[in-house]
Amino acid sequence: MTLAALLILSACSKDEFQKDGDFFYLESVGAKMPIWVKGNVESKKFIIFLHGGPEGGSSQYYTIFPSHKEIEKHFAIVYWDQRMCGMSQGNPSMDDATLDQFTQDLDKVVSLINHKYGNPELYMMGHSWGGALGTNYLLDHQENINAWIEVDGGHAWTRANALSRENMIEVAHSKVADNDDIEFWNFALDWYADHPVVGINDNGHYSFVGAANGYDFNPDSDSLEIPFTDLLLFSPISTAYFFVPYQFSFLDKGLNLEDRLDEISIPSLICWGRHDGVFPVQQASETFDLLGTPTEDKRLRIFEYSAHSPNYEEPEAFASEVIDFVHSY
Amino acid sequence: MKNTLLSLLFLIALLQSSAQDSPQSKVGIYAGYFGETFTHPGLNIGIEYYPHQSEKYQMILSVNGGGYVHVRNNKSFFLRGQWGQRVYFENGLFIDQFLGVGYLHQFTHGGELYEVLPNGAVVETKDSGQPFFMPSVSFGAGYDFSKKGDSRFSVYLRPELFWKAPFNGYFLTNIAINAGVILKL
Repeated sequence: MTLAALLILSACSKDEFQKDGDFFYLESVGAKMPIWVKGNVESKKFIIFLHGGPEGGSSQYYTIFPSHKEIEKHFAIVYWDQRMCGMSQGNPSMDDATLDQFTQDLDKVVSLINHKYGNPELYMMGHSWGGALGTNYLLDHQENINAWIEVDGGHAWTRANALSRENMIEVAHSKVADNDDIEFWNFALDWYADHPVVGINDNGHYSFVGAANGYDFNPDSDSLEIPFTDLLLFSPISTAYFFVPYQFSFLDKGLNLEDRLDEISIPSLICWGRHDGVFPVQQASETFDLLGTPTEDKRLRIFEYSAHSPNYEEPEAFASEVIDFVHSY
Repeated sequence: MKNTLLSLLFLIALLQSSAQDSPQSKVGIYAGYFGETFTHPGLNIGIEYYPHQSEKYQMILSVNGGGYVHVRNNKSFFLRGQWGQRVYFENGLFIDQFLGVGYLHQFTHGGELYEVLPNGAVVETKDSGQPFFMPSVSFGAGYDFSKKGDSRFSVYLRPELFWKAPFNGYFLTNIAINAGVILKL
């Protein structure tokens, strides 16, 4: 009976995850990285999506976003799991977990998509860490890409952490003054006193950001329901998504790409959540101003009811903005 | 192939005859469902040997092999040895536990594998798979029909944790379920 029940459960597997789109792998320097191309391939417009993280991130997690499903009606989205992230396999060396290697992998993804689909029009969209990776790629390869979409991106992560630290100290003082979980927020203030500089891998800081709704503007929103059980039981996602025990040490040195943004001149759309606690919103206008893209070819869109991820907190508005932008270029 | 099959049949016949001569069977074979994360289906077959046993207790040495498919993730094959213990209750129910070590070979599943050569050429490449060390631990329960009749069958349900190493440089924890039938020879 148990066996029968398990087989029935297996038969209920979600076709979308197991059959939809094109699925293949890229092998590069010890890593075997899955690539899932979904959506309107006939449009000949492909958006290469760069997930957040990097450790703990997976592009497959984004495939369930309603905003992405809407965008897929118009264009193809290329979901790629970066090395040592998500469903990526192999046994690559930690010595090869560098910004340069991630960028070289991305260049290979671009070559592979061009090879398989006959040089379609390519766009790139990076969320969080993906914004840093995409920016770094464009600094050397922007001629390969039609247009760039950065969503709460981490290309100036070192500066973001300094801004975010200041904001979080303000939040903590405010919470204490309001008698809101005084013990926790006093602990936060003590932590920040001991950490005058917050590193990219300082998880304590991100815990406080999360507690202040700096990731999710409205954690109770229906749009945030992620069916983790279904993903684990019926999708390519495995326990590797949940049990990542390492951090990438190359991020310890910080990430400061803002000084080179003027070298990027392709059409660009900058999307940012007003209440982002990780990469504060003032970075959105700074990014917009620093980009070398002609003013008429760059757009800035602030999402008023989002924190770190407008792509799932305001799916309709986000999808509409991206669809209009990509159609324009 | 034919010789292998004949040898296997001879071995089973030998084991069966020796089992009939002794009051308690010393050997069992089993087959069942192996589900990685419960729903990613596979099979597991093996043989158990009981070096020490009484009415209520069995020590078990087992060798088994199997595989599973996790669609668009991996297909894996494994061979392992396990040491375990089984405790019987008077009503035929039993509980057991196993510790194992083995070898697992994993292939990507769901699509072609490509490489981009230094000259920029894109080529499809053969996936030779990846070797893993596979420790495991499991706890389960079952029912032995021989306690209430002539049947030599038992059924079992056994959740398990197993690890793949080195996976991206670490021990990746996996969960699985075993469910199947044991035939005492």
